[in-house]
Amino acid sequence: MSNFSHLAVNDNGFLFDPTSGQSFTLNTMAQEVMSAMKEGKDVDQIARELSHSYEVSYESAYEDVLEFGTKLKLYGLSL
Amino acid sequence: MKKKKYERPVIQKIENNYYVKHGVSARGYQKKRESIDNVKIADIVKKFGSPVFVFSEKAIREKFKKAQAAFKSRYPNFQFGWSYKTNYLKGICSIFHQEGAIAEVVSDFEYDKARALGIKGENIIYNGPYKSMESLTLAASENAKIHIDNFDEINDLEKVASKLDKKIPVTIRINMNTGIYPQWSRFGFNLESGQAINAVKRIIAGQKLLLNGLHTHIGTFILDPKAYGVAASKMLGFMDEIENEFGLDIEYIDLGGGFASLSHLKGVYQPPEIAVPSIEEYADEITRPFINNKKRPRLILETGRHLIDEAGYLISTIVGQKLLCDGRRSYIVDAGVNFLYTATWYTYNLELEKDTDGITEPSLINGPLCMNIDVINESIMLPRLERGDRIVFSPVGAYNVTQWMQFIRYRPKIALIGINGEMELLREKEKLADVESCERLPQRLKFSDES
Ligand SMILES: Cc1ncc(COP(=O)(O)O)c(C=O)c1O
Repeated sequence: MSNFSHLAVNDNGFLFDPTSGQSFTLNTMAQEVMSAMKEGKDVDQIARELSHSYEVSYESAYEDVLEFGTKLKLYGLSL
Repeated sequence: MKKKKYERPVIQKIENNYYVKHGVSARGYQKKRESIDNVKIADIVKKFGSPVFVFSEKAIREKFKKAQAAFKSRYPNFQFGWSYKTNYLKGICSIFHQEGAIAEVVSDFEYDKARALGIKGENIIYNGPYKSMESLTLAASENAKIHIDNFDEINDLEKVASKLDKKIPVTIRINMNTGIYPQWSRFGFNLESGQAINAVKRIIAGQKLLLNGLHTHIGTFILDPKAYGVAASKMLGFMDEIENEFGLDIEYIDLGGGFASLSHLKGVYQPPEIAVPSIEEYADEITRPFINNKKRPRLILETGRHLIDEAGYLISTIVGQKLLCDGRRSYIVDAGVNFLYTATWYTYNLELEKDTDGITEPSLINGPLCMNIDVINESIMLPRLERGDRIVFSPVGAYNVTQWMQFIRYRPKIALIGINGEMELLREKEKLADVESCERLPQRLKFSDES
């Protein structure tokens, strides 16, 4: 995953991208996935961790994390 | 260790500062529908499968009674004709006939349907721009109310009159400017240009037909009741004029259909609950000039959409989803524009069977056809839905189960929820044999993979 350390998410899940001036909202799970990505974890690792602590299968979590990454790209938040 | 409840990760772009300033939750309110007339969606799907069209007998009868009362209480010399093309399922037509509506048909096929249901010719209004010689002959011999569209039809009917050796009672269709756009000038004889009076003169000169009615249909989904007031006044004025001038006796004036239903016409900004007039408002405008008329002829209406649209639902199921490259989520449901022909013009209510939580995201609803145009809703904010979730579309009772097409997929079942909650079938799901029953395969083209 790419570097988006310049992006700050506040406690309410509000994200401001200073380079584009755009704002976003993230739910709790998205915040958790985003910090995992910031730590440099890959999709497989994040999906494993999610399925370990939450009521979700590895397959579903994998798909969701992958899609979340796609959305970040679509929104210009990661390369 | 007990696992925590999972919610999908969602990131949402804020399109303006509205959310931030006013703290509006992105968890939008979702319309929910667990049942139709107290019969559970789950039970309906269990019995009939998905997708399935569902009609509420209660809603049909209540709507009809309310509309009938609105007109009869103001003007007792009133009659409804059920517009077959709006929905010509036998079960649906029968309910309207039981309630007292006569039949309004626009083709030989619809004429046959009404007759097969047991409606007498004299209780059939026969409209439309093309009626074959055979069907004109049949309709005339059965004393149907034939509404003439053009001069060629006058000629045809005079031939029929000679053949049957009888004077045929007829009505002419008239079009006029009622202040609404677009003006339906394609059908009937134009009033303002003098075409209508010329048609009257032509009929009188021919001596084979007897003009005893006047008809107009100003358009569909008319949101301005005043247009009907104009139409009623102009028709009554024309009646008075030709009765005085030619000594005719006009028995009835038929003002067609066109009342709006509580559907959301694309391009209309206000929600239907605000934009759509009540039946009483239409009735006020229409009956006022009739009440003020000396002769007070019978008033006929051929209302379609208004009487049936809201009684119809389509239950569908999500069969897949994907993220599109513009960030919207596409849900694929098991029913598309092949069944929902009117999706081109109307945005339906979309109701979910289950409570669904979570942040909403821009979504679109696609049907199952392998066609780019198969879009039921191109832009709606929805929480993340799951495969297998049910979506109920409404109102879909008008024009869909007549204009739908057998395209790519079999057409689904149509069910009726009866007055006492009965679940009854109005139409079977199509089978290969149904679809192919009109096809013929020349012997020499027969193919076998075995040979
Ligand atoms: C001649 C005629 N009568 C009645 C109707 C029914 O109209 P609506 O469904 O708008 O009430 C139509 C519909 O186009 C029509 O053409």
